[in-house]
Amino acid sequence: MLESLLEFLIQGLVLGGLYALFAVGLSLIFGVLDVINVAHGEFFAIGGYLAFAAVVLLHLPGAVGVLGAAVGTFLLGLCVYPLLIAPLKRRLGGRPQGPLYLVLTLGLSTFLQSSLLAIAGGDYLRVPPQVSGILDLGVTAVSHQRLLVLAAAAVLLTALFAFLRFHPEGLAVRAVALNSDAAQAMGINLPRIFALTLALGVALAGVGGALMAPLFNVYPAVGFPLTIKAFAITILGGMGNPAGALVASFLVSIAESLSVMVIPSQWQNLIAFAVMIVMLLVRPRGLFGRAVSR
Amino acid sequence: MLELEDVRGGYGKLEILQSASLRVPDGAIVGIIGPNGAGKSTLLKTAFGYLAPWAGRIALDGQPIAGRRPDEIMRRGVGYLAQAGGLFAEMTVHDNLVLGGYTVSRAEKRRAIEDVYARFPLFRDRRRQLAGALSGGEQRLLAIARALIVRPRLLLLDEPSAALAPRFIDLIYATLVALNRDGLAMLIVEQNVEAILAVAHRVFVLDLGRNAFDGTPAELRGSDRIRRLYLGEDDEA
Amino acid sequence: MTTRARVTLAAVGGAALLPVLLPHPFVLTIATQAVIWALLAASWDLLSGYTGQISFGHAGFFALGAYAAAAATKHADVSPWLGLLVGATIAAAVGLLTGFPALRLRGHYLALVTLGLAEIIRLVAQNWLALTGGPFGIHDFRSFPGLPDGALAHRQAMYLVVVAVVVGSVAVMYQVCERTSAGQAFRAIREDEVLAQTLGIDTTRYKLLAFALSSGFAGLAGGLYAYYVQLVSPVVASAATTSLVIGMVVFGGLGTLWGPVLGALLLYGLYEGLRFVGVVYNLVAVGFVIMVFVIFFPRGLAGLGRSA
Repeated sequence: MLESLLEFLIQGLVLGGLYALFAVGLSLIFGVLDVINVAHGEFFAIGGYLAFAAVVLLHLPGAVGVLGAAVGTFLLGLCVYPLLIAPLKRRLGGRPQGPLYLVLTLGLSTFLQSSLLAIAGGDYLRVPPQVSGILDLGVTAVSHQRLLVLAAAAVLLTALFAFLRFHPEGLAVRAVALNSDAAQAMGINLPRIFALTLALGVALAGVGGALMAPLFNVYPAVGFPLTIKAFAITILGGMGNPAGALVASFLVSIAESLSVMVIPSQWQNLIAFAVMIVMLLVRPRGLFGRAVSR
Repeated sequence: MLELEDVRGGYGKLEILQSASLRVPDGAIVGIIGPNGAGKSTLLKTAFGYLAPWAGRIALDGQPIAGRRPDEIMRRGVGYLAQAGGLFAEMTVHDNLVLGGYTVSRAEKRRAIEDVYARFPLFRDRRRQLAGALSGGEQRLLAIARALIVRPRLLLLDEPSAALAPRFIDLIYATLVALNRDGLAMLIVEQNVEAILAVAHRVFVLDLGRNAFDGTPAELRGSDRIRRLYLGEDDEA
Repeated sequence: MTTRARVTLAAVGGAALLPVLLPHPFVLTIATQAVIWALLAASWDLLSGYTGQISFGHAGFFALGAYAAAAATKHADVSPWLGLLVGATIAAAVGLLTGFPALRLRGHYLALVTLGLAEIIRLVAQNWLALTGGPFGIHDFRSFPGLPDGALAHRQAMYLVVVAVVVGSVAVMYQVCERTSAGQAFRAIREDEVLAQTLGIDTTRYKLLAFALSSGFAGLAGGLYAYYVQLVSPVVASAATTSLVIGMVVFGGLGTLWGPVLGALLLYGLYEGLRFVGVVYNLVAVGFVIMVFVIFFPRGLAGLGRSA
């Protein structure tokens, strides 16, 4: 019994790394831009496609594929704010109209996903693992690839939090999230910070996509289930609270993993949504909160 | 230094400013007073770029700045102190000051923050505390100290005395006068008419979105009509 | 009703009769489905356009109606006419339940709750084999009795049935939204809920009403879909459905009811027409339309030509 527990705990931990890469970026984007990026999963998919292109088509090493995914999704992400969100903001003036931005990113999601389908076709593309081999922990075995995802998450997220905490630009990002008017009075260029934050957030997803490509395969809709689950995770942790999203990622991944002991596996996904709905009804600001109204 | 001419503007579709004009000469303290809803704060926000004017001219040192972003205007040497919520309440005192120096070099920032701590030891003592934990007066002082880090040439202040104890109002205004003696120009929106009349070189009265009067404090006090309409009952001892 | 609306309705009415006058099986197929989508789009508009409660989960209500109707007919031998009612009622009931949390949530939080709900419905549809037939869904149930035999005549009759139900439904929704105090309440809630409350409007009652009506008609559309296609699978509850509906409403014009109807007919026609060009580009166009219209044409087709 204890062995099972340990096994599922470890699997949950490893899964949490992926969730964290995804959810932290999503939460950061919401915290700074006040926009829920429904298209986040598509950047995950694009990361996978870029890795595929680099490794399978161009025969470059796996690491280059991951780097290419990061850079590619970052650059693409830079375009989203000025091309889509800024024009809508201009039209709406200062009035907060959250749902409209949601509709906008939903449109982007549909556009990107179906564009991928149009360009690359719907086949599940195979990408070779960046690392091979399995780590035998006795109670369970974990593939090195999955550990790589966890390690990458640890490194990247530590770097992100350090950036936000210590670097002047990171401080500026936090300032914008807290009080964008005051931030402007400090000389902070809002459009630049918005674009940068969005690009950073989706680049994290892109890296996740490149690293998970060997495990999930690459196809246009690969990111969407993660997106919805990430909504649940970010709400649990407190929408706009990246640290909260980090903790919530592991809470959910471990809960999902452990739940297999009591419910059939295909109902696993239900947990995240059930948690989200309960959270929204009971305590919308999540475990670690950011106030609901802004 | 700062010129607003025939400015029209407001929020969304709501017109607040119908025709507002004023001038802030270099090194002067200029006050804006008037009844609630007259558009005083709106005018200040429009001057700093939070709102885009619908019509009219806004110029800084002769250069047009209408429609520019607040951070662009700030970089031209203008500071803005909001009426409330201008600090980053969830950040430490120190981080607030660091953000104040966002646009200057690290060395300059360090030096300027040291100056602030020297001048206001209370901030050094509490530099790791959250800014929101400070009292109202301390927060106001911190906001001013923060704005000074980049050595602005013009400060826009929105009701600096609002919700402050008289002791702090005196302190704030004493600080402002001292800063002005060093050459810092100011445009101050005030409800506390006495406080601003005591220090301003020129005062503009705004009513229903347009200019109603302007003159020196002496001229304002000298006019019975103005005294009755905008300065309250005769309060001369 | 504005002249523009009158003209559009006349044009739509004429177009609606076309498949009957010039019957072609392919045209009938597209037309029938387009009309079903028009009902779904109108139902979404009632909730999200008129009352301002943005729902990202209408695919869920659509699916509930479809599954309930199909299951009722297949397992309980309920007449399809009654099955439509069953589907609509069940969807309305769930919609009403969804309305309760909506009372406390605003904006994107509400949207996310409805999205989560739709996903749960999809998961249940996918995995609860006994109830829903799992990934293969429900099939093998009869459609409307009393329709003529003969491939073409059957299709024409089916088309007319669908049109009749949809026209009736949209008329009811239009009446409620434009001519009753409920409709006024909806709009007041959308504009400024706090103000509406201070004006004495029972926002709770009207929000719940909007949810129940909207989801009920979405379920009715689902039932129509079930009896038309004669197959219900988890795919109907997918996010693509919600995305398409939102696209249609944004394209046609939020909060006008006839705009979304027009938007649905046109967009579905575009969607299917593009399928001819290359299966994969149709959804790209939908996504593109959503983005462009949300940013530049917030009033949709209904607002074109009108000054902002």
